[in-house]
Amino acid sequence: MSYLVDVEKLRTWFEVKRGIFSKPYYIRAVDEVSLNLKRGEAIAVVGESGSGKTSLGKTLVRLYKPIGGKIIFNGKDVTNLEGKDLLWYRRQAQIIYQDPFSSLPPFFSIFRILEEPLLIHKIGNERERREMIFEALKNVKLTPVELMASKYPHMLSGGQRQRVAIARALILKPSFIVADEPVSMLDASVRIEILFLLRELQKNYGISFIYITHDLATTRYFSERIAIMYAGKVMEEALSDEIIERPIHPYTQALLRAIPEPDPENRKVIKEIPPGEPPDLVSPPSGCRFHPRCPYAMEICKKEEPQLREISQNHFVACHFAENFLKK
Amino acid sequence: MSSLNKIRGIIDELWKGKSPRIGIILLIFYIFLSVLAPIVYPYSYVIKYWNDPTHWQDNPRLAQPVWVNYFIGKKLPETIIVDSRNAKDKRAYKQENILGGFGFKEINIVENFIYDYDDFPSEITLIIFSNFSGKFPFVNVYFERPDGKEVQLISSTITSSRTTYYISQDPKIINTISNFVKTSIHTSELNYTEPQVALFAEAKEGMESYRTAKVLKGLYGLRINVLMQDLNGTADAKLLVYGKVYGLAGTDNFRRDLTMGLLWGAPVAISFGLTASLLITITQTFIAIFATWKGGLVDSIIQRIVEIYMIVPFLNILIIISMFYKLTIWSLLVAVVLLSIFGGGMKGTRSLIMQVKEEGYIEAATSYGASDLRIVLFYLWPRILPTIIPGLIGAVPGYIFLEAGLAFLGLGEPTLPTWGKMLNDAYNLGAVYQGYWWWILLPIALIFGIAIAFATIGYSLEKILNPRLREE
Repeated sequence: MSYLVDVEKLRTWFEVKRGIFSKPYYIRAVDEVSLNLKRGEAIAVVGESGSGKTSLGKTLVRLYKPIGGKIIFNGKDVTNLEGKDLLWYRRQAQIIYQDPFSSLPPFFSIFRILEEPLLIHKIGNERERREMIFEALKNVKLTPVELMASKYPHMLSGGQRQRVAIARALILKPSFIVADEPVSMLDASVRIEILFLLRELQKNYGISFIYITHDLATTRYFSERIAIMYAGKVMEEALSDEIIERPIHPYTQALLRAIPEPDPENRKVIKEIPPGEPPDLVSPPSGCRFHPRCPYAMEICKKEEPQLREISQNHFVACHFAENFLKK
Repeated sequence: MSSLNKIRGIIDELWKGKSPRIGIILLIFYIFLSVLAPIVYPYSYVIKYWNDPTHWQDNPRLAQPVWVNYFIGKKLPETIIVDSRNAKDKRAYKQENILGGFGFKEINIVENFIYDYDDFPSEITLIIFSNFSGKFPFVNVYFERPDGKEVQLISSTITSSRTTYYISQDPKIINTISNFVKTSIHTSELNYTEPQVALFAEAKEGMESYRTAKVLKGLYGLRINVLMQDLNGTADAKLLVYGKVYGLAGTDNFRRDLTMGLLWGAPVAISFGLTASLLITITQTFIAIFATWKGGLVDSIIQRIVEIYMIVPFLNILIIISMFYKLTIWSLLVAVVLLSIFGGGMKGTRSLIMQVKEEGYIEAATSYGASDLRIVLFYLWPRILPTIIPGLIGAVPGYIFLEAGLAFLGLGEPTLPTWGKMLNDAYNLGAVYQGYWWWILLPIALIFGIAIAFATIGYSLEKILNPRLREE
């Protein structure tokens, strides 16, 4: 089985220097994460703020350089690419940002914003680029295209800007896109439209997607698989329906319980939210990283770090007591 | 197109405010002066003659500007020049007689002029041009006054083709005039005589002194009689009655027309100040952007260099450089720019870039493959540009002052006139104590004006381009 993106034990640690003479310490944003992605598949990476999901996404498109592990893209190791080779990878992998208000340069017209990637990668002549830009705008349903192309970002609404950002990501015809919370900054009314648009484009062009979000509710409609991240590690990974219907890891269960349900019967139910906050990534807890917050924590959880293992078919969990939870 | 509209919008907004409007009007005035300067006095002319004292001999020394007349309600004399060589000058008559029997040639020149000013001339000079061979010609000069009195000023031989008689300084001539005064007012006691006063004063008691004399207005004449043996010889005379006012800006101790210096000061000051400010701001910003974007070791090294530059005494080094190498204004400009490339201004720009480089679209540009150079040129630079322009404009007066200050210390441009150099000349000749106000105040006013122009525009631009400073 060949994957488009195959991530092995990826580690992205950020070095923090306190002074010239003292030893630097590290923030372990992504710690030994393994993940794989088939061509045309969409995976959702879900986690709280500070769980390292954005760092994972940015490492995958090589905005951050990992200090360990491997990223294999289409059979090629892209972990340490530099210069010309990195430029090649930049054309294959794109990222869509959370904040459409800051991700577009305010002093460029929409046309110029979309033309930049083409100019950088020396694609097409003037006339061809023009056609490609109008095509991209049509794809994200920003019409009339000629009028839209002449506008500046500040003239557009948040949803329209995010469409421009999506068009910019698509214009190089990438095979892999990381969408970093693409709808969390948008009005609720346009969120679902943008998600459907992304899904449609993903299906049409067969692009592999990593959809990073903290909102478990929208993932089911967007992705085939879901990976739950906590404190820089993947805690559970399975098909979307499987995870939502049969969550095994205590953390996943807690996350699922936190989703509001539009049922009047539930209005008196007090939600159980996992107590505490995500741990300090400089010195993460020993053993299982979730143990200080886990209601089922035992002695072994403090000492031994559980490995991600297949509990049932295509269902991976990193918990010492996964089997017990499965029986329930 | 849209950037043009933007600039127009900014100018419209500037025009709305009171102080920037003054600034714009002043700036237009200075630009007008700068355009006018090379038209009225071409560059090559200025370079050639500004420091050439022989060129200015027809001008009065230390004359005030002409417009002073309107303020004091008196008509101060302007310079009167009557030249018999000039055929168009109808005030000069020349007549030649050959006295055949004696083998002599007689040349009679009469030069008339009307004198109706309220003050006495400052100097009188007569130049006789003569071509002859053989024996030296003999010359008699008579001064005729409106009241019918006549003085024989000169009676001597001419020994060269150009003879200058400084009537108001020559002791022999002064003695003659003194005798004329004595006979006119019937006295034998006279301590001193001011020749240029006595010649133009009413024949009354006290005519010898400027304090007591009254101007006699009317038609004056100078009769010059030259006798020579060479029948082919020629003789001409040029009379200079120097006045006390000259031109729009007066003259200095070297009789130079200060209008020329003041006018040429404008393009020199604007081009020096603007070029210095522009070059320094742009290079500083580029280095700051580059250093900040690269970060790490590059940034650290550049920051340390900047800190060293900041404690180096800039002005002292500049003075030492100008003392060792006679700097023209353009090499001074190069020195100033080189000494400021790593100046402290970079720190402010750097802090701004630190903020800008964290913006999402910069990282996005990296993600689709933009190179460092592209990000610096196309992403950071246009974002920083509007914030540095007000500072750029506002810094111009500083460099104009710097140039004027160095020129004032005698370390400036040697050939071109600049405002600072005019002040240096004025200072060296004690203009402050002697009361030659126009020589000091006019350049100072022009320096002030240009500083106000740039400062008000710069400050107002800052308010427009940086809305946080807008007062509501």
